[in-house]
Amino acid sequence: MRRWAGRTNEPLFWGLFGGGGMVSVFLMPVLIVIFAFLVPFGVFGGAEGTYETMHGVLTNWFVALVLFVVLALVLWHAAHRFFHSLHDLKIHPPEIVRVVIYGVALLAPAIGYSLFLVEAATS
Amino acid sequence: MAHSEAGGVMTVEVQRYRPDVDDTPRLVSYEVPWTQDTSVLDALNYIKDELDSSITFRWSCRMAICGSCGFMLNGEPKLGCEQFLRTYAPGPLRIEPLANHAVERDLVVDLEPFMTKLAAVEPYLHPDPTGTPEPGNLQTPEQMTRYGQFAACINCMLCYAACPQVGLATDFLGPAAITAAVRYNKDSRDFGNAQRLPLLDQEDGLWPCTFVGACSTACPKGVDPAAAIQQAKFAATMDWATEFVMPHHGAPGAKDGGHA
Ligand code: SF4
Ligand code: FES
Repeated sequence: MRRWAGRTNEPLFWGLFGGGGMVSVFLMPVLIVIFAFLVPFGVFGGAEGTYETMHGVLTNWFVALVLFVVLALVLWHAAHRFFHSLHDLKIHPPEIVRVVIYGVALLAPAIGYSLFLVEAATS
Repeated sequence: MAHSEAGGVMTVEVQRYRPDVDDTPRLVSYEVPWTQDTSVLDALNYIKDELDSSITFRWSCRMAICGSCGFMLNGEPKLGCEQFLRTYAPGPLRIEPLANHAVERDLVVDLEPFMTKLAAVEPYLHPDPTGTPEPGNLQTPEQMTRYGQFAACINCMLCYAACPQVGLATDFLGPAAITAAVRYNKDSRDFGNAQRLPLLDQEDGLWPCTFVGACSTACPKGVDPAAAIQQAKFAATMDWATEFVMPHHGAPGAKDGGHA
């Protein structure tokens, strides 16, 4: 990694932010409409057993991992926007606030997935 | 825009200020006769010719191409020669110097910070280091279309007056300078991406931008600097990722058609 005066890790932060934005805008609404409305309300045929089928798919460790990564991107997007909104409001908090904001975005999905794995292993 | 009144006399309030003499800027009212085709610049020239010759402002072309007559008109950054008094009828119209800029006198602002930022991004063709293959350095219409819109900038600085981030972060490179960098980065004849990257990808480079979009709303030439900055962010992110994966990748940003 080349270094120069003032170079930041902002490309990484912004890249994840952009990815989270794409997911929030294009992917999530479609998934929500399909899996929260169309499928359960039987638009694609019998809704019988939908919950059990979905539950079975989502508790697969790999599907769950993908889901947590996608949700992590959305959370990262929100955190990044929130942090920059502070700047827009002329609030310049100490570095620790920045660490906490992005920390929540990193840790919440990680802890969530860990809890899922523990739960899956014990049930 | 259409207004039934064909003309009349309008109160025009102009901010007067001589930083070395006056304590604070003040608004001075002038009564300006106007007709359907009286521009704001015409009104200022009327004031200077007929009412108060000491009033100071910049202008040149009178046709929205030289970029020197940017003012705040009722609080919005506009070109004085492109706006007409009829739009502001029955008045009053308030004319102030461009926001986010230091005032030198009356409506004249300090251009130096902007000029420094613009020059910093090296907004000129960097020739192919391996030599120019064809005489004339030709380009197809498609290649020109890739940057054409960004080349329409007239350096009027309205986008700097409109941008809240320019007001918050003084050293922010700003909309037009970043757009100029993108304009050359996207030019098939240019090989200067690597030189421009360190200026763009730094704290005061393009990252203070939070995509407010006020620059593109204010721009009188349809340049869309907000889009240019987004493209520059994406390109900087791609360069960062490339270097992360391949630390010895060498100079990123070569003309590969992918990210430029
Ligand atoms: S981008 Fe538009 S508003 Fe900004 S300096 Fe260029 S022409 Fe003026
Ligand atoms: S006088 Fe040239 S842009 Fe208005």
